[in-house]
Amino acid sequence: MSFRKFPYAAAIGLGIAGLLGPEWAAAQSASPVTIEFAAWQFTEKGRGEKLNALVDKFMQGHPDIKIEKVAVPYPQFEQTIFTQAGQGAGPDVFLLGDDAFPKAVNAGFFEPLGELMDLPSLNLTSVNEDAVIDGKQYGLVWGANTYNLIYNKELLSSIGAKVPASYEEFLDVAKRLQEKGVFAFAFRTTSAETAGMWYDVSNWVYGAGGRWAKDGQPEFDGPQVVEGVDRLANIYKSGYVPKGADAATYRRMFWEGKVAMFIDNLSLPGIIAAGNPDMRDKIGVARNPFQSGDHASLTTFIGINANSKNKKAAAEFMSYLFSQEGQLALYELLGGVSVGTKLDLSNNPLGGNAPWLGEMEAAIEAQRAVSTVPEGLAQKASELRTVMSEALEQVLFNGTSAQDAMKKAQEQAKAIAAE
Amino acid sequence: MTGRRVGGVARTVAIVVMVGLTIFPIYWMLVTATTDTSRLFLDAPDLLPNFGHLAAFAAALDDTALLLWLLNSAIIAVGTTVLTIATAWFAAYALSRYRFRGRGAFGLALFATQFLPEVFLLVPIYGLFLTFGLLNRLEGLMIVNAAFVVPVATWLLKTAIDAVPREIEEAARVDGAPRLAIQISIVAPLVLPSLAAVSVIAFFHAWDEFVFALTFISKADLRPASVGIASFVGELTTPLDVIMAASLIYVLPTLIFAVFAQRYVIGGLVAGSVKG
Amino acid sequence: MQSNERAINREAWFGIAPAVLLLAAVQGYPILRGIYLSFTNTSLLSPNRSTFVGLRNFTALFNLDSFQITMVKTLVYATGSVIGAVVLGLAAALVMNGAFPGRRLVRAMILVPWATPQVAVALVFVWIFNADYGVLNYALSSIGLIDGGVLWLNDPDLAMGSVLLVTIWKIFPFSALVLLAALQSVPASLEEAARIDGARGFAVLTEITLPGIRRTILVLVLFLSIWSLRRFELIWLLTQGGPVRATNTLVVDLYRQGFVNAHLGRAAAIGVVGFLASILITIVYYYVEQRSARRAGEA
Repeated sequence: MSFRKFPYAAAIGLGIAGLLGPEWAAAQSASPVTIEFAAWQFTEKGRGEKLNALVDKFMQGHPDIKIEKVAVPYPQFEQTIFTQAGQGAGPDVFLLGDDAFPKAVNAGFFEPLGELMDLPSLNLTSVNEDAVIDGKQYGLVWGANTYNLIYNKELLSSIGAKVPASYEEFLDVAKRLQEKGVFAFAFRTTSAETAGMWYDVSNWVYGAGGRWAKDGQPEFDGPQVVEGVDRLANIYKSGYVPKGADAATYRRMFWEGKVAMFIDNLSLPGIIAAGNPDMRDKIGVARNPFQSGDHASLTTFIGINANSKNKKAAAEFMSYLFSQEGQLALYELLGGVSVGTKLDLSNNPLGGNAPWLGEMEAAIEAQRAVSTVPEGLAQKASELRTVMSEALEQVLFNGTSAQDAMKKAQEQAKAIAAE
Repeated sequence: MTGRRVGGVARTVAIVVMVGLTIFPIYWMLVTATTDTSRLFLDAPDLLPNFGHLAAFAAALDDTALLLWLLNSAIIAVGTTVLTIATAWFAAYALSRYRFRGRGAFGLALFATQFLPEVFLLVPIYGLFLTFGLLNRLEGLMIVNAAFVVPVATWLLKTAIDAVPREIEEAARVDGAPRLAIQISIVAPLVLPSLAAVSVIAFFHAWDEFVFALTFISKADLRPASVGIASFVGELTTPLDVIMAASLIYVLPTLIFAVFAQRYVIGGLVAGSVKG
Repeated sequence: MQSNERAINREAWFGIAPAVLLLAAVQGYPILRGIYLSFTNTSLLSPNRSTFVGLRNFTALFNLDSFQITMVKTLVYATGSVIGAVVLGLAAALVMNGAFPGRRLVRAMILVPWATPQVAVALVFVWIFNADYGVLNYALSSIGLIDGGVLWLNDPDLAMGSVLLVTIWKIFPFSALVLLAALQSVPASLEEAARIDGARGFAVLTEITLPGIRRTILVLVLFLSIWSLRRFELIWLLTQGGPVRATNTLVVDLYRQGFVNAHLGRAAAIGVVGFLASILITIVYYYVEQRSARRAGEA
């Protein structure tokens, strides 16, 4: 009788022991504090090694703190962090893009840093003010990136063209490049890259002088917005871009010399040079070829989880990242993109490896960086993005006119804003 | 006579085409993994793998934690399989051999679980696992995976056990053997093909699983290969050759498993499908 | 008699206990919670704070034309993938049914798509489908079928077809194996007898073989249909439901609403609709099963 029940009891007992055992054991050992740091760069070739080295360096100097490197893939980053943080869990320190940051602060995911860190001593840049909400600093700038025209000097000079400074010049250059059998341009058009599409289109909209929203009201059907979308669609339909290529593919095509220009973020020159060292001296950076001097910015923030059980250790890590040493390492990792503090670049770690730095700085100086988050609608950014990308897809693939597509998008955007 | 021969040729052609199309994507993974990036954007793609260019495989194995990821995947898959069989076996036996109260309801409940997409349950299960400390544990994934496979496994095993004549068990019981021993040493060997089929289903499901692994595991050294390989899709670039190389290595274990188990899988599905 | 019944009940309950425990915990509770969520306005960012809104999520859903498109896409996807998998699976099973040299190897190779993880499948097919450098376009334009540059995953008219192609590739092995197993249980003697009587190949197929595995085909269709309503990763990794919602099935919509837009309540409502759709399919299945069983003289 009892024999029959024994296997069940044993199984249940083993199961419980198995589940609880390790927990109990862990609680017994006195420990270095462990904190989780989530960033998508960990598994990326080039940036991954540098980030690993940076974290390891911190751990060497702080033997009482162990950092668990959490590499969540970039396409699923926001959703994963939100799912975890929503339940009061999630990594102790994590990155977040500027489009998701306000939502996260609103949901209480970030801890105000004023008490935990000595902020005034950090020499922060003004971009950090974007992370101040209701007077509290909820995060710091990891990288303040912008979108600029990146071009292949060799290809342009082979058709005797100078860098286009206006949309008309751009079209002319594109046509001549097409005759030579090269793609003039590339931007994100696949449905798996909705977020990227948004950044790309924003540049064209801002370039035409438009804005997505004003004071919390969307203006998707504003004349300059429509013009920006229309121009981009025109480029696509004229066959100047490799259709259906995702960003990873067309960036690779660029360093193989098949694409001449794109408007992309400033981490790219470093990636391109790494992908094809021959390209290093051929990379040019210039301001966007549009009448307005506004270009899209892409800021990534880093902050401490409000539910972290080790905020002090997390703050120590953050302080290291924002020390001169940490910042220089970050600057190098990001390929020359502005970091959160004002750096003394007299001994630029990128040195001669980045001949485009001068042009990059000039391009940034010549333009005004505008966030891609619609003004006053930070909470609804991802939904508005979906609306926008559908509208663009209608124009690109279904032949709808930019005017009609954006009119419909505006209706949807207003409905979303009103919720 | 002619009819038979034509049939033979037609069949051979059909088989070749079928196998060719089935294998092609894997073959293409091999070609892409051995192609240097400079040759990826030519007008005519290289159609044959270049075995001289194995840098991508080296990169996949050395520069990343691929081997660790594969180990994790293996642990999760084996654990899922064991848990699935242990759970489904007893349920299947009970459903097959006993007319008990709640039998219909249990069967219906099992079937109803097939109606739910995993993503629908992601958030509530996350909350549950958070409360019980099952996050960041390979055991947690084993439990989740098993829960999704057990219903199908139970059904398959039940129909297999149905086909085993009760007389065999009766005879053993008359001899005084305890029930559990009968189940394990007499009935189980007779339905080995179905057990194999269930193992394959459970193993493949766990090996493949992505969304739960992505959300529930944040420790780098516990990450399974499905998530690891997806993480190669970077913010800025995606090294196609390395991803393909890593994917090939990732596919290999299940392929080998499939090749060895295929005889049993078919046999196991016989018992399951005839009765319907 | 009574105590025997009780003993049987107890034995049985012990047997199903582990399964019941596992499923109640991992699926039962979450389902209840999911259904509850569908009546609330909950954000992914604060999943434990809900405001009850009654049927509003559902009425909002049915008022959206985009949701109607989603339902249509789901139907198309389910029908397409099931028909494709069954037809191809049947063809494969018939071809593999005889004895021929290399049979073991062929069967093993048919399992390849089933053994390939979805992540890897999506990655390689995105590359194969690449408009300018993908091998599919290269092959088709080499033999003159197309002009090059076909946007398999980006053209709204083609995307669903491409996704179906990948899906069918992935699932037909399972279908082939199940049908092969069933075919092997159709007594060869029946077919032999029919052939001796002069029946030609096709007639043998439709009159003897197919009806013999009728039950299996129906069950296979049932399971494949229900599973197609659940299939997520493959579609998401290939197209994320686009372009222009061309491949936006219920599950993809659920994920986007819940995890991209953070509207857990609305996502749950979509999930409930999917659940009801599955129940509908099952009811249809039973009806069809009874009808065909009666026609075959079995019921």
